[in-house]
Amino acid sequence: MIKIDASGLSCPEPLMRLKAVIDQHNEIELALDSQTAVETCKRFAESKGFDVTVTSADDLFTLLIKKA
Amino acid sequence: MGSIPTYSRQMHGAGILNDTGPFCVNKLIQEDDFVLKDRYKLPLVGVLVGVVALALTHLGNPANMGFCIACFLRDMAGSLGLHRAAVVQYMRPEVIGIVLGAFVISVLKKDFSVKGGSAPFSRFLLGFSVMIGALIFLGCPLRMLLRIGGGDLNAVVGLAGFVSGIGVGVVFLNKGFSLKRNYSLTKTEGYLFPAVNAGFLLLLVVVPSVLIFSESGPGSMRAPIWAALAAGLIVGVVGQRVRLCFVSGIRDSILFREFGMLTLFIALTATVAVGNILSNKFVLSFANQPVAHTESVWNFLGLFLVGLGSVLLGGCPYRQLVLAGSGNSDSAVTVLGLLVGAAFAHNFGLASSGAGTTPAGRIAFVICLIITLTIGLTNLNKSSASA
Repeated sequence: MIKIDASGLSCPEPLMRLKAVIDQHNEIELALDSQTAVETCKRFAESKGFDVTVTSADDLFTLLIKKA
Repeated sequence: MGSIPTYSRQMHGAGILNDTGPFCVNKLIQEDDFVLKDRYKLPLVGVLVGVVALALTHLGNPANMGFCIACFLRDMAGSLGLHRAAVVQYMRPEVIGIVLGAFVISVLKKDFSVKGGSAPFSRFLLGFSVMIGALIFLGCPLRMLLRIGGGDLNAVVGLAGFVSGIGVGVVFLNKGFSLKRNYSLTKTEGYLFPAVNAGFLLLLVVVPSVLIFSESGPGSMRAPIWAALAAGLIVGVVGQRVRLCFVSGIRDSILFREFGMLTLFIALTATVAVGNILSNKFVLSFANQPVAHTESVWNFLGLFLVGLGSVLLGGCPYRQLVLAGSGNSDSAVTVLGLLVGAAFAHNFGLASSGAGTTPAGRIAFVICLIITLTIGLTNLNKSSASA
């Protein structure tokens, strides 16, 4: 499990941070704070064969990304 | 763990990843809670934006200028007296509509998020530089597509420059470029930008005498206020929902092999081309195109700067308007940079015209390119660079 906090970063930095680690890990916890980043990161992870669970707390989102 | 560090939450409150307390209850998000960016939706949005742009031109906007965020902000700067170029002064309702449309839909969809504090002055200068590049070319990336749809081959040269600029921007991103994080701000901060735009609309409708209006030239060519406002609202709403950005489509196809937004661009351009052909306005040429010049090197370089600056900003001028309407204070500052850049462009003779570029404009381009590259090079972060 690796945890990444990509909240507050401009597009496309959250996705770049996810892309940089996704091939080396089976489980990733990714913190985001914009719906746009959630949409793009979720779509990217799913395209790489991962299951994605999204939870929210206030205006912060957590993506639990696990190898399917 | 690789070269990517993990981060502990320090600025947004501790332990959000595990918070389950009464004030921070984790909620499982269903897929339907988000707008599904279905692939088929994007081409349809492209057709819609193309039709709206054609309609605006038919109703009175300048040729190949149903929308142009750079030109319209330039007109607004003139209308407010920030520059005195008599032919480009008008308070464009399209821009106001885009901002208010993005504001309303982001609030309704609970996507209104007030953030700011990510290198605001760097963003201001990048916005300024992007405007200089756009006014050397004579159009923003959206107008570039509209010009291509009108048969303007100069815009194809511009597109090559735009893609090249985005390519260089991607190199910066891959080397870890970042303007760092933004942070949550008060709701008031997010409401101010839409409120100012609503104020502009009020001035335009109720007391237009306080504004300046062109009596000739592109600024005098305008669709009726309510049609232009409606057009802006439509494009603001749909653009906010599908995350329309004329930079991200090309950037993400390079970075992530994500081609969805490109289908929107193609559909938009094709729609405009068909509309122009049907109305006998399609002219395939370099010469004698409306609000355009034929200096290919500068058409290329102008949009090169727009592409590079927009990648560093995280979005094109249109996207900055939408983000500013959705609560992003950094984008509001960027729009101010665009506005001031437009004012400078016409106060100091930097903007091109149908006759071509100006010596001062070429010097300004070099200065703005240096500014943009300096901001790019001095914000590289090796620890977050992708492998």
